[in-house]
Amino acid sequence: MARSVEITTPVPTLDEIGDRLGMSQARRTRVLKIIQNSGTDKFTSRTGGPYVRAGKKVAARKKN
Amino acid sequence: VAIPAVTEDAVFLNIPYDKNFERPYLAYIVGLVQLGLEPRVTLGVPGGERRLDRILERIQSCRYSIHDLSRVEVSRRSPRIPRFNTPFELGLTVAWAKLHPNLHTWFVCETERYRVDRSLSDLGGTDPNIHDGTVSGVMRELCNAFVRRNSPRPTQMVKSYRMVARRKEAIMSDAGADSLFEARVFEDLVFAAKALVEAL
Repeated sequence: MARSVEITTPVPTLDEIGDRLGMSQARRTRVLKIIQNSGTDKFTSRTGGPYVRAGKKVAARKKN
Repeated sequence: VAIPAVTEDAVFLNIPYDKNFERPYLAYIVGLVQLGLEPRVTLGVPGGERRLDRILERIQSCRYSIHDLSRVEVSRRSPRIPRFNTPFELGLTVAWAKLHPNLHTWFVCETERYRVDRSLSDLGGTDPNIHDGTVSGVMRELCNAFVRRNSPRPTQMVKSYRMVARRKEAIMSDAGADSLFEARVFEDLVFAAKALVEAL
């Protein structure tokens, strides 16, 4: 058993996490809608993807 | 037997699927996601003969694992029995890591200090992470275990937890689930946690 380890792997993006979970784009959009519409705090997705922002579909952010 | 590819940022989460453990469970998910790691669980692993093989494959596919031994009591309902799944999967992991120390690193977490010394004395000499059964304790111990440059502070991670917790009912409702411990809900929670953490 370790006491601590140093993590140096890059932080996965939202899309990478969605891919790893095997989630369809439709399901990702659905989850993002849920978290936008529930809770009392404001949420706006900062990452790319054909997600919904303020009720309107927005284009995926281009990767460099 | 082929060894599955190891995902370097994946963490096998071996915890009790217990209604009273929902808060630490959600804290583990949010905390690991905020530390840039990917939690994996056995939810969704089908039963039957191959279940054990698939659980072992899941452990092997993760570079790290957390084994939470907080639920060592007998169940409240009859028949009053202890649960062995968590310590059993810990045993599998210890054997795997012993054979392949470069492929896997494991951690043990507990709510109570010194209890592991009595519940699993074979682990004597190891030093479990004690989270006190609280969300802030889980975040603190995750930060102690997984050190990353520019990592968030435990207090920031508690804020993230609250953001996800406020939405858990909606996520469960959408999945038609009445428990957080369902495969689809787990996946949605991981994705939601990542989206909320990125938006901070």
